[in-house]
Amino acid sequence: MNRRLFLSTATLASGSLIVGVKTRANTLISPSIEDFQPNRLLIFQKDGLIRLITNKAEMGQGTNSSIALLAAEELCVPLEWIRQEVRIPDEKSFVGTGGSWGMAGYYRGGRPIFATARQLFVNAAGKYWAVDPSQVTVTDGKFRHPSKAESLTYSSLLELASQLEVPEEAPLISAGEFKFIGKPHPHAHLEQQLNGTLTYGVDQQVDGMLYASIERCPVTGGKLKELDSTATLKFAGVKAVIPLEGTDWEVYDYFPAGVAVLATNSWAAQQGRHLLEIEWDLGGNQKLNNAFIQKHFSEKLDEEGVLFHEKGTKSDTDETGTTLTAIYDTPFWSHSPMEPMNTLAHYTVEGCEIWTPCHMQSRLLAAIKKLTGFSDQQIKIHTTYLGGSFGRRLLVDYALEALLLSKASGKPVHLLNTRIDETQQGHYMPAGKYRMKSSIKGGRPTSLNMKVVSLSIYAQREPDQLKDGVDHSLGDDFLRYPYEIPHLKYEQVLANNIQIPALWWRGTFANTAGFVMESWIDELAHIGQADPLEFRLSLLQETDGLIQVRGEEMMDKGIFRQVIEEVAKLSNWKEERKKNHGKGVAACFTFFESYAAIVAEVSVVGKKKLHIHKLSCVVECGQVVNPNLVRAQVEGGIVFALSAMLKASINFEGGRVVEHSFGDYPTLIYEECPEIEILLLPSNRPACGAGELSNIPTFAAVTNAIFDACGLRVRSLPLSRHMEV
Amino acid sequence: MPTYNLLINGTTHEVEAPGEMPLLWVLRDLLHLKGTKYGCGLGICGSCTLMVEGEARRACLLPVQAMDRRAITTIEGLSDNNDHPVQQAWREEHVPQCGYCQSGQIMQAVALLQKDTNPSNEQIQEAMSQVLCRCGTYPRIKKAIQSAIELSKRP
Repeated sequence: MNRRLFLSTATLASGSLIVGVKTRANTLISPSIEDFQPNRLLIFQKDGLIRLITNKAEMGQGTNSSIALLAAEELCVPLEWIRQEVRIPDEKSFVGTGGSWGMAGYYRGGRPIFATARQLFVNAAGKYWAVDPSQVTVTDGKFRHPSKAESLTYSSLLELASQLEVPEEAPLISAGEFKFIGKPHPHAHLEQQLNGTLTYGVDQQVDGMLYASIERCPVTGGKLKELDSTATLKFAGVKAVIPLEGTDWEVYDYFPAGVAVLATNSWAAQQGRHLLEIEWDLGGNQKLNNAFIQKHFSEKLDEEGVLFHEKGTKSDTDETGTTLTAIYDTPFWSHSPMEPMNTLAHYTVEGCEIWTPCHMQSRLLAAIKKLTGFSDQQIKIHTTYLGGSFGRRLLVDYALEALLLSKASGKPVHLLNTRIDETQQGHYMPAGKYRMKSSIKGGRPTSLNMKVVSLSIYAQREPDQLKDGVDHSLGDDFLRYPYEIPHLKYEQVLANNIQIPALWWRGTFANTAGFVMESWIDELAHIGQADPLEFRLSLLQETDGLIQVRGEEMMDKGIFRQVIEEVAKLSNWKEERKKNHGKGVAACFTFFESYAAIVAEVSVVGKKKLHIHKLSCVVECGQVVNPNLVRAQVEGGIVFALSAMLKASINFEGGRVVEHSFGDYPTLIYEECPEIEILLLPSNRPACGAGELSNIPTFAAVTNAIFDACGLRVRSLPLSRHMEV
Repeated sequence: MPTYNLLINGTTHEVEAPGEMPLLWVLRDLLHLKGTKYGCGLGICGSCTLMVEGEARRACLLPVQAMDRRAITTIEGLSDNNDHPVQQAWREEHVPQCGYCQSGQIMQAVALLQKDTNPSNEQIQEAMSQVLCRCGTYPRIKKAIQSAIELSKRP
C-alpha cells in the first residue's frame, strides 16, 4: 500500500526571522528564532525539544514510538528530547498508515532525512567554531570539537543552522554504533495507558458539542421510507433527529442511509434510537443470505476463471500418478476493534475541524473537500490515538457522517457507533471459496491448479486498481510460496454482484491464501506419507536465490527455508507426540518482505474437543528496530488469527448481518490463549514489516495440527463448524 | 431529574441524571472521567470494568440510581503516581498495545488481587477471561499478573 514516503526538504518555518544574524555566541542564543524546520519531519525548538512529525497513526502497533528511536539514533540525541506527533494532512503530504510498511518505510526513507538534519547542525557547529565540520562529533545531543572545551547543542545552533543549506546526503549511523535500534523500548504512550489518561477518539470533547448515534438501514443499498421521531424527541437529553441519505454502496467513502439522534450525552442518543419509528425501503439486497452466497460462489467456481499466474506448462504435469482435489471455504469476518468507530466534527461556514481515530487521513481530506467544497486550508484533521483498527479505520465513513451531522445541527458533533453497529454495519473481510487440484508422482507434486472466488475489494471501491480485470491483491499471496512445483496455474473469479461492503483486514487475503496453501501442502505431504515439515523442505531444494514476485518485490527461498528449519528446532518438532496431541507447521512470505513460520501444538479429545496448547513462531523481518514491539505484533497477529478461526464468522439472513456483538461474534478470551514462543532471527536486511505477519501461518499451523492429532482435515472456517472449541 | 451522590476515587460528586442511566455514561459524558472505556455497552467486553466497593463491575450495566453513596474506584483513582503493583507489573511486562481495553484489564486484575493476594490459576483465568482484548495482549497479561502477585508480597 503506502510504500513511499512523501518528504520534502528545506522548508523553513521561520524564514522571515533569519536575516542578518552574526555568528557570535550571543546571537546564537538570540530569541528571534523559536523553532526551525529543516525538513517535513523535524522541528527543532529553542527549548531543546525536537518535534517529530510523522504521517503514521498510532493504533497499538507502536510505529511512531519506533520512528522516534530512528530519529534519536540519527540525530544522536536522548530519546526524551523527541516529541512525536501526527501530521495534519494537506495537499502536499500523504498521511496514512497501512500495509505494515510504516517502520520499513522510515527505516529506509526517514533515517537519511534525520541524518541530513544532523549533518546540517554539524556544519553549523563547524561554521561557528570555524573548523572543518568533519572534525565535529555529536553524542547525546552535544556537538564537540577536539580543539574546543565547550560543547554546542541543537538549540544553541538553531539560528545558524537555519541559514545554511540542508545537505542532500549524510552518512547514516552504522549498525555497529546503534544505541537505540535493536534494543527493546516501551510504547511512548505506556504511562498514559496505565492510568487511563490517554485520549482516544471517543474521549474528544469541545464545549457545546452534541453526541450522536445513528440508526442505519440494516440492508445494504436500502433507503429511508418513513420516519416518526416524536417519541425520540421527548426523551430527556435528545436535541435533534437528523436523517442521512447515505451514499452509493460501491464507493470508497460509502455509508448507508440512516437516522441520527443527537443528544447531550451518548446514552440518550443511543436510547433515543430505540424510540424511532422507521420504515425502510430495504431494496434488492433483502434476499441476500448465506445459502445464496454459497450457491453463487459454487457456480462461480465452475466458471472459467481469469488466469493471473502460470509457471511451467501443462506438459510439466505428470498425470500418471495420483490426482488430489479439494475445496476450501473461508467466511466473512469483522474487524471489531475495541474502540468503536467515532469522530468529533465541527463544521462552520469558514471551515471544519475534525478529531478522528482514522488512519487514512489523506483520503478523509479528499472526501471532505468533495463533500464541502472547502479548500485544504479550511479543513483541519487531528488524528487521535486509535483503539485498534485491523483495517477498519482505513475507511472514513464515520468521520463524514459526523461532519454532515455537525453541518445539519450547527453544533460540534461527536458520533459514536455502538458495538452492535460495529458488528452489523461493518465492512467485512470477504468470504472466499478455493478449488485446489494437484497431480502427484513419486511423492512429489507436479502441478497445482488453484482457483479462487471472492469479492474484490478493489473492484468494489477502487476499480482503477484492477489490471486487465485482475485483482492482484486477491491471489498474489499464492505466489509467495516458493515450493518447487513444476506447473502452477492460478485463476480468479470475482463475485462482485454480492453487495456486501468489503474491506482490508489485518493481512486480508494473505490469511486465506496462507490457510489454503499451507493446508494443501500438508495434504500433499500426507498423501505421500511424508513428514509435513520435511516435505516442505524437500520442495525448497533448488538454490535459485531471489525470486521476483511482482514488481520489485523479491522473495528469498533461503530465508523461507531458514524460518521452517528454525521453527522445527524451536518447537522440538521431532519429539514424539503425546497422546491425542498433534503438531502442525505453516510458513509465509509477505508483500512487505518478511518471513514467518509457526508450529502449533494442539490436542483433540473426546467428541472432537480442541485445545490449543502452544504456538512457536520464528520471524525474519529484516533489522528489528524495537524487539519489544515486534514481539507484541507477533503475539497480536497470532491472537488475531485464533480469534477469527475458532468461532467467528459474519453471516447474512434477509440481507442483514446475523451477529450482534462479542456474544455471537466471539473473540479469543484470556483462558483460551495458548502459550506463544517467539524467535526473532538476526538479519542483514533493512527493517521490514511485522504487523500483518504471524497471523498468516497461524491458520494452517492450527488446522494441520488438528489433522496430526485426530485425522480431521479442516477445509472451512471457523473451527466451531467442525469441533468443540 | 434526580440527583445522586457518587463517591468516586474518594471524592463525592453530585450528579443530576436519569436513574436508569448507567454509571459508564455518567462518568464519561457527565463527569468527563474518560479513563473508563465504552466497548460494547452490553456487559460482554469488560472495557468499562471498575470497582464498586472492591468488586470488579461493568459500569455499562450499573444504573446510577443503584450507585448512590457507593464507593467507586476507576482507573484514574488507582494510584497517584502510576505505582499500584498492578500498574508496575503492567509496565514491567509492556502489556498494552492499543491500550483501549487496559483500564478494564487493570481494574479487573486489581479487584482479583485485592480479594486474594495469591489466586489460583483457575481464579486468574476466570477473572481475566471477563475482559476482552483484540490486540492480543493476553500472553503479557498472564506474565504481568504473576509479577503483580510478586510485587504485592513485597513490604
